[in-house]
Amino acid sequence: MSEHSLSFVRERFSPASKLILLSIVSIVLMMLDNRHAVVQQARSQMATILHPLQWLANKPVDAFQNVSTFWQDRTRLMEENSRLKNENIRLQMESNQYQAQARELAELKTLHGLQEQGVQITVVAQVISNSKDPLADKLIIDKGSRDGVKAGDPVLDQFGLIGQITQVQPFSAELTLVTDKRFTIPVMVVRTGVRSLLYGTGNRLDLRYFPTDADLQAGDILITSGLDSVYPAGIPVAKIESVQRASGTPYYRTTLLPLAAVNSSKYLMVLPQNQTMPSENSTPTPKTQASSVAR
Amino acid sequence: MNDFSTIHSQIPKKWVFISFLPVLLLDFIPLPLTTFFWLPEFTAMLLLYWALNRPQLISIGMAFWCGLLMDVGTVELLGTHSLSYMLMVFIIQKNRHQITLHSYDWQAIAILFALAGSYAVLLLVRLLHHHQVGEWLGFIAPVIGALLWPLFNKIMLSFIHLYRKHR
Repeated sequence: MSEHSLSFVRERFSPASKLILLSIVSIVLMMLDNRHAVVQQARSQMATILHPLQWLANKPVDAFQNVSTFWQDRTRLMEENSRLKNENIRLQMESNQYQAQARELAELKTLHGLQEQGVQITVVAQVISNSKDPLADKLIIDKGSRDGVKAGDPVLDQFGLIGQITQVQPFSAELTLVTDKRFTIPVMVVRTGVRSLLYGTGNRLDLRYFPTDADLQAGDILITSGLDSVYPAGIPVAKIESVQRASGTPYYRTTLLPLAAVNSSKYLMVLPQNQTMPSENSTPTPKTQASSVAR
Repeated sequence: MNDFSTIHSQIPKKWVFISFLPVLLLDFIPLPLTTFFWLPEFTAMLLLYWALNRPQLISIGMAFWCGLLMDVGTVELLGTHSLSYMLMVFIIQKNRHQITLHSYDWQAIAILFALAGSYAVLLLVRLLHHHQVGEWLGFIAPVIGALLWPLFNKIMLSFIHLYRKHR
């Protein structure tokens, strides 16, 4: 092959200068990623090209799940079936009650001329990629703009709020987990109704400014308060694991447990954004929205 | 040049590039990290393989693009993998002539250093980005990668022989 002969003639850059040049390019990319629209667009185009490969990469995992359910023994399946039936009956009853209550509430609200709010149409999605980085706070799901997913939409798993859509491609979307350090979520203590803000810290959640003159106990559940333009009210977010009064600060010191199975959920639900708040900009980016609530 | 390099240089460019598709596919499989932290990155190993055997074709530029694809596919900060792959390929290609002289078992030691170095760069970038120290257990992955190196070479060679037979 001609590659071996005369190869030194074709070489325009020495390896060292090439390394330095491209290293600078990658460092610049690192700094611009998440900050610049052009880089985001390039990223989303690359993601669209890679989508078939990712779809294919998911097949072994799906196949393994199918096979493992096939080989589960009968008794376990029957047990699970009866448990699910029971739960279904309970949920149906609850949903009937909820419908009745919702109707009642709607009547009251129309009486007061209030806007109607609540959980609307949802998109059920599947996680198709997680990061190789244990500290990473992003996932890719298999639904995108073609299924009506928009940037900024809140995402739930079966236990509670798991994150927010930060980038949308035609066939997939990228979500940032609630534990991301840029996240701020307006929450409310279910038991007392006291409102506060919840901050992500990178791998946990933090309730930084909860004044000690309000009541707070271990085991309290925090739900979204609905006082923003992103999260509908009433989504469970976290549970207070321990709480203590620290001397020298007017705030509680707390440890929180996210309710969503942040690292293991496979099926997620994407909700449309909270429409009840007047939004000033038509296409808000999730980051500014989340932070505008806080600062 | 020894016999091996002629074997490798007979593979057309197209097939060298296509060979990256299955390894990227392997790396994209969303396995839970808590149980599969020991799995090496196969894209990195294939990059090293071609960097040793087809240095004119696969070098720092290809490492950059492969890294970018990895970053997009595994939702990392753009440029993280490209930086780590480029350094890895650069070090290996600098010492290519010494490394290719030895048997696969001795080559594995150089591969271990290259893979561990690339993981160290990943850790450093993640440290700067998240302000948190990553998973030290992840250094098992380069060790496993180095242990798999002789087997990996055998597999690649068997594919190359298959190609030559059907040509």
